[in-house]
This record gives sequence, structure tokens and C-alpha cells, in this order.
Amino acid sequence: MTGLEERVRVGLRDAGDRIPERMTTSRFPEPRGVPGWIKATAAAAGVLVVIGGVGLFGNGGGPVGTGVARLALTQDVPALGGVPAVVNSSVSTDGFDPLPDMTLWQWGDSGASATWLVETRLDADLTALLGPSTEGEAFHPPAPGQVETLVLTDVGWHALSWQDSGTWHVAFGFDEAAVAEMAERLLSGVQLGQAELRGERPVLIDPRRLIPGPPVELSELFYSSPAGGFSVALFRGWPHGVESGLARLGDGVIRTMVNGEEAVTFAGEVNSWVMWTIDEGSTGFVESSDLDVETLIEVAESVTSVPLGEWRVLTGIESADVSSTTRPLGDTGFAALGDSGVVHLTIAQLRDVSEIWGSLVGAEVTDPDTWGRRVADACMLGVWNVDVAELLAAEYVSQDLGRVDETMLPAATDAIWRLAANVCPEAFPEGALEAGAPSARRP
Amino acid sequence: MIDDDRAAEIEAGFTSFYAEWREPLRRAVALATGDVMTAGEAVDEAMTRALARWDRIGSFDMPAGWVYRVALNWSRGLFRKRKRELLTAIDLDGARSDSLPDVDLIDAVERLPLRQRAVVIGRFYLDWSTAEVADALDLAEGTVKSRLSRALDQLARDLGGER
Repeated sequence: MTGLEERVRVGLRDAGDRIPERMTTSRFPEPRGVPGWIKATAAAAGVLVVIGGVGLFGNGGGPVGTGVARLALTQDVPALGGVPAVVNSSVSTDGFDPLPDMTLWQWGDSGASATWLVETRLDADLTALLGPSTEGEAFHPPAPGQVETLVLTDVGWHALSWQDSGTWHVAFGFDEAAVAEMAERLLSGVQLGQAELRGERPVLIDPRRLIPGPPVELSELFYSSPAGGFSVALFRGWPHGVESGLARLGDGVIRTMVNGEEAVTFAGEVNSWVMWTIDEGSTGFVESSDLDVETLIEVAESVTSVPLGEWRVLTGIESADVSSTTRPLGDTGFAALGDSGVVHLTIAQLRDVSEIWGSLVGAEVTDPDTWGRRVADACMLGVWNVDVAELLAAEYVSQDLGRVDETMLPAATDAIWRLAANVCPEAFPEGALEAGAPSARRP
Repeated sequence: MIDDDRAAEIEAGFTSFYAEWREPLRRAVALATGDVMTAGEAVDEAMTRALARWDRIGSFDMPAGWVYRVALNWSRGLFRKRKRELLTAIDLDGARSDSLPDVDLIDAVERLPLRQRAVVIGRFYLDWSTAEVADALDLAEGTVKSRLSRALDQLARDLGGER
């Protein structure tokens, strides 16, 4: 090994050692486990819709899964930028096991005005957590052990979380030193960074990196509670152009089909619309450039014959990262979530992939979530590798036909490759597209 | 159908693999992408997909290589989506150490194109042979060697030394 190679080896190992230990204590397998982290998403005063779970969720011992939680605050959150305030909350979960004891939420943009919400089992003394670095005038710490929700506003960049015997703790501050001070106080004087807290070392993180994706400009979100399996969402101010799309709110999830070719054409003066979904099966919409919200809701109700119930206007999400709320819930799999967990196919793409699969494999599969997951996997796992393509092909054929038909695998392998080539050509390494489908490369 | 015994065997195999490789791979991906935060996500995403297919992936010669490659794919997709530079500086201040890091070296490695960096990390951080790196990244070994050579040439130039 040359001197340079040795320097690279030593330098990289040193740099690797300096990377903080993982933030969570999630282990695998861990039934009813905790998420590796939460991908917080958009929200507004009143209702917070989040998609959580980056790491490995134990899912009752079953498949690794992720889920979505909807946190509905029962009272208004003080205007952003104020002092911390405690609000009562109710937490509901959709699609996965109950939330762990600690959850971190964020809304607003990812800049300095970011607002954080901590939902935790407060075995710790939050007075110590907040300490003198906050004004505290609206803060009344709950008794230890009580489940509460704490809203911290206008906090800075640094956060600290750790787990202690199943209880999650979190600290925020304007700077690293403040957070460290909070944490050290909370840890009874243990020096941060040197502590071994029951096997876990507290780790400082940068909350800025919790927010995936670019912001989508929405000026207002109107929301109506689901009624009879029916959900409706109304947005105003969705940007026109390439990022326009169809959104729906179902089961606590805002779904968006970006550039959905058969969706509304958001052109001209159209700036408000209502859309809905019934039992996840169909989506409709009402659009208008001049109807007020009440009228739009009335129209929606008349069209669907389903009372929408109470609705409320949610504001203050101008910079909300709606793009990160668009990942559908999966029924079983982790692939339902994550930045590349699901590819949002346009109607045309869905039609194409279904037709390709149907013609080559003989199975009629039209579910957009199924194809969204499959295409995402094909793009991420690297379907340009023949072994991967064959592996996925066998998997999907087995799922669709209930058996693995060996004679069908070559066609299915090519189909998987073509699906990915159509949807994510940019993911292919140099020359991989030109090399052609697996059948073209077999001897 | 996989019977219960086989399922337990698969789960045990994955659990062992996860315990051994999750952290080294997270650090390797962090070094390759320069993004500490998303490296864990990337590896977990890849691990999850490995788990779903562990009866096959577990029989590979180098399942860790498979996970490394998938995690890098995931990161690439994420960064494309974010329309941001793939490389951001590793926050060396975020951790505590008595010694100073070789900042010049890290900077030089970070300036390498990702495809070279991924090879360098595999070879020198994960300590894989060129053949193993080739397997992990789905490349010909000759390609790995040439990328490694070009990367080292570039590092030598940047660091003002010789190979």
C-alpha cells in the first residue's frame, strides 16, 4: 500500500469515526419498536399531518412497516415566533401501530422560523429541559410520567434526542451549546458526548436536514374531516405549471399525483378546488375560480351525496413541504414511505406500466400504489442489474399469479426493466440504458 | 410458502447481518455522500428491501455490497429529487475527538465524483478488495481499478503529493 493509500485509509476511518453514532436506538427486529426518525411534514395551526418513520419500525413482528400519524390539536397553537406553549392534543394513527412514546414534529419552513412539537412521555422534568433559555410564560410543565404535547416555537437549529429505558427525550435550542446545556442538566450533569446513557450516546443532530424536498407553495389548505370513508381536501394557491397536480386527502394522507395528465388542468384563473376520494378507490374534484369555499363544499356534497362534516380553514403553510406528505400509506410494507419509497406515477405512466406488465406477464394489475412501490424498488434496487431484475420479476410474478412460472420470468424481467427505464431513466448508470433490456444482454 | 422454521432462520440471518453491517454501511454511505443525516435513512431503506428478499439476498456472496449499492442508489434518487448538490460537507465539528481530522484529505475525497468516491470508500473505508467493490457496485473489476487509479491520481494532485 502506498503512502497516499494509507493516508486515505486512515483519514477515512478517522472521518468515519467522527460521524455521530446513529440517532436512534431502533433495533431489529423489535416488535412495537420505535422509528429511526420522523420525517416531519407540513401542517398548520390546528391540524398536523405527518408521515413518520425513517428507520426500522417493528410492526408487531410482521413486515417492517411505516405509517402515518395525524395529530389534531384541540386548541389553536399560538402564532409562530412566540414563546413555548403547551397545548392539549389527541393523537390518532392510521395504518400502523401506536406511536412510540416520543415523537418529534415540525412544521413551518425549515428555516429559522421552524416550529417544533414534541410529543413525549414526560418522565423528565421539562422545566429543566426548557430552563431559563425560554421565556416560559405560557409554559406549565406537566407532571413527570404524564403524556403531553409541548409546542416549542421559533427554536433554532439544534436538537438532541435520546432514549432512556423506552422513553424518548428531546431537547432543542438556539445553538449547540444551549442544547448541550439543557441536555447535560437533564442528564444530571453528565457531560454530553461522553455520556453513555444506558448504552446510548446522545447525539446532536441538525434539524434542518429533517425536511425533505423543496417547499411547495400553498397559500391555504382547507380540510374537512373524513365522513363515512370520505375525505375532502381543498387547496388554494397551488402553483400552476409543472408542479401542479391532483391532491387528495384520505386516511390522513395527502396524496398528490404530480403532473397527473388526466387530472385537472390548472390553468387560467382557476385557483381553488375541492377533491375527494371515496374508500381510496376513486377521486373527484370540483374546481372554480370564483366560488367561495362554502359553495365549493356544497357542490362537493351535492355531487357525492356525502355530508362532509365540519371543515376548517388552515392557514400559515405557505412554505409547507407538501411534497413530503404525498407518500401513500402502504398496506404492509416499508416501501410505502420514504423519499423513494413510492414513485408517483402519472395516469399515463400507470396505464403504460399496467399494459406492459399485462401484455408480457398476463396479469392485470392496475393499483397505483402497487406500481408505485414496484417502480420505486426497480429504480432504487438497480434493475439494470440482471440479477436484481430477475429477483424482482420473480417476486412480482409470484404476487400477481400466485406462483412462479419459470417460463414467464424472462418476459417479466424485461418488463420490470422497461418499467424502470420509462419512469426513472435518470437513475440508470451510464450506458445501462443503451445496453438494453436483460434479454438483449443474455448470451 | 416459507414455513415458520425457515422464516425464523431468515429473520435470524438478517438480524445478525443487520447488527454487523448497519453501522459500518451507514458511515460508509455518509462518507460517500457527505450527508450524515440521510445516510442512516439510505441504509435503512436498503436494509428494509434486503429484509424483504433476504431468502435471496442473504445467499449472495456479499449482501453488504448489495445494501451499499442500493443505499447509494437511494441517496442518488433523494439528491436528484432535492435538486441539491450530492456532496455536502461532513460536519466534523459535530463529533468530539482529541485529534484533528485530516481535513485536506476529506475535502479532496469530497471533491471526487461520486462514482469514484463510492469506489474509494468501498476500498479504503470498508476495506473491500477491488473484486468485492466491483461486486458491490455492479461494476467490472477493471472499471473499479481504473476509477480507483483516477481517484488516487486526483487525490495526489489535490494533496500535493505522490501516489
